[in-house]
Amino acid sequence: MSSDFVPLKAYDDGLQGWINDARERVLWQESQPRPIYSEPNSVGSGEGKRALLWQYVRKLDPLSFTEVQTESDCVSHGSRNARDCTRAVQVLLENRPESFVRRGATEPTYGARGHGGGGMIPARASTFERDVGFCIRQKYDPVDLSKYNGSIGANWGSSGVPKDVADICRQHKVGIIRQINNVRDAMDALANGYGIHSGQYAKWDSSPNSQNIHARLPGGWAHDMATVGYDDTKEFWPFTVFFIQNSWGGWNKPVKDWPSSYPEQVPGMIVTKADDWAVCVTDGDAWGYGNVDGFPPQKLPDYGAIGLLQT
Amino acid sequence: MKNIPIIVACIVAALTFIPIPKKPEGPVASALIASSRSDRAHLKGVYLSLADVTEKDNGKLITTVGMWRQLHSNALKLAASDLKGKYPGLDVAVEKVMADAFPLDDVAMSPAMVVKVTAACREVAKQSE
Repeated sequence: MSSDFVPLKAYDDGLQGWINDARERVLWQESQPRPIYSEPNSVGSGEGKRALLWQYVRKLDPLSFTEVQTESDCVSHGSRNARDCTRAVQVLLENRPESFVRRGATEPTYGARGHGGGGMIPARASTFERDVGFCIRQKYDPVDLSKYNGSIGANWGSSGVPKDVADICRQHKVGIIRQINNVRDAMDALANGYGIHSGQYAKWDSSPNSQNIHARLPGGWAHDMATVGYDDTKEFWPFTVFFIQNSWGGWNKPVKDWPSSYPEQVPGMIVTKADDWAVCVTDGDAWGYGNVDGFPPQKLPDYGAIGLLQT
Repeated sequence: MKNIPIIVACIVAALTFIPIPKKPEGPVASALIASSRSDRAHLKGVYLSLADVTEKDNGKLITTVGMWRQLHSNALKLAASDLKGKYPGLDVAVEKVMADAFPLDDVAMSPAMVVKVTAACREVAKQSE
């Protein structure tokens, strides 16, 4: 892909990042004991509430959600962003004895798409992250993943993820990946700390409208993005809103009015009405991530006093 | 005049009931054994402030122990640079107090962790009296 890749234009022109494949979804469902997000004990637990999961990732990784995709690898960005939301919740809300360490890497997931062309079927990303695992942004012996390099994953497409990289990924897997089928379940999942990513054919306006949201437009992008929060309290917006995190950098204008009590709006975020967000589940490729294998607590070198009170 | 011994005896008896302030003990107190009163007060102030900030934040802005470590370093750089090098072993002594209170794991600043970190700061302050 050329270095002057402009995601908005590319997707407007018909680039296929998300590949819709009903057969692969069925295969996924058959490989899972519980493929659908359905939690009888917490049905409705998200109603009337809000979950702003992106704030936890930003607390641990202040530059999170700023990577701009340079390939048709949106599925791997969406799944990474969902995975990082879940990991951050595990660290900061569940107080698991884990360290976030660094943001997740996208390249191995995209490298597992199973073909040399562009775009990915989300069920394949889910299969890879469940059965093989994921890496984080650091330099590994076989490959340097410390900075996003879309061409790495793109080049692995036809041959697959190299075995030595896959072996590293195996140390951390996504324990729970469930398909989300309706807006209510999505709210429940987010309220319970599940990050979500979804592939859909839909597009949103780059400018907010008079309702202080980004409205859906006719037509669409074959695109995958993470949903990183929702607000069903109706305290600020008089309707339910969802917060979608895109992987295009600051491609749009932020909404003008933003609740002062909220964590800051991340560049490129889409604020959308639940009715418009519903396409993310009706297109069949919305995935909630839970119970991600965390990283053991990193040992600090000291408590911060060494050398500062002593010459 | 004949009552003077009785008065003295009463004063002595009364004084025995006044608790003598116990000298602080611990690694920081030992490191500060030859310190000036003003340096001790200075260090005490730094650590009481750190304890207050940590307690008030309660994990909101300082979300991990790693972030708290950074805050601790910066606080010493900004507020205690004049103590640097004056008291051999003071840095290690402070670290010892911290190590007795919480591990070096970079985990979340949970409410329980905030209590431990705050207590460690107050212990350093106490040993600086």
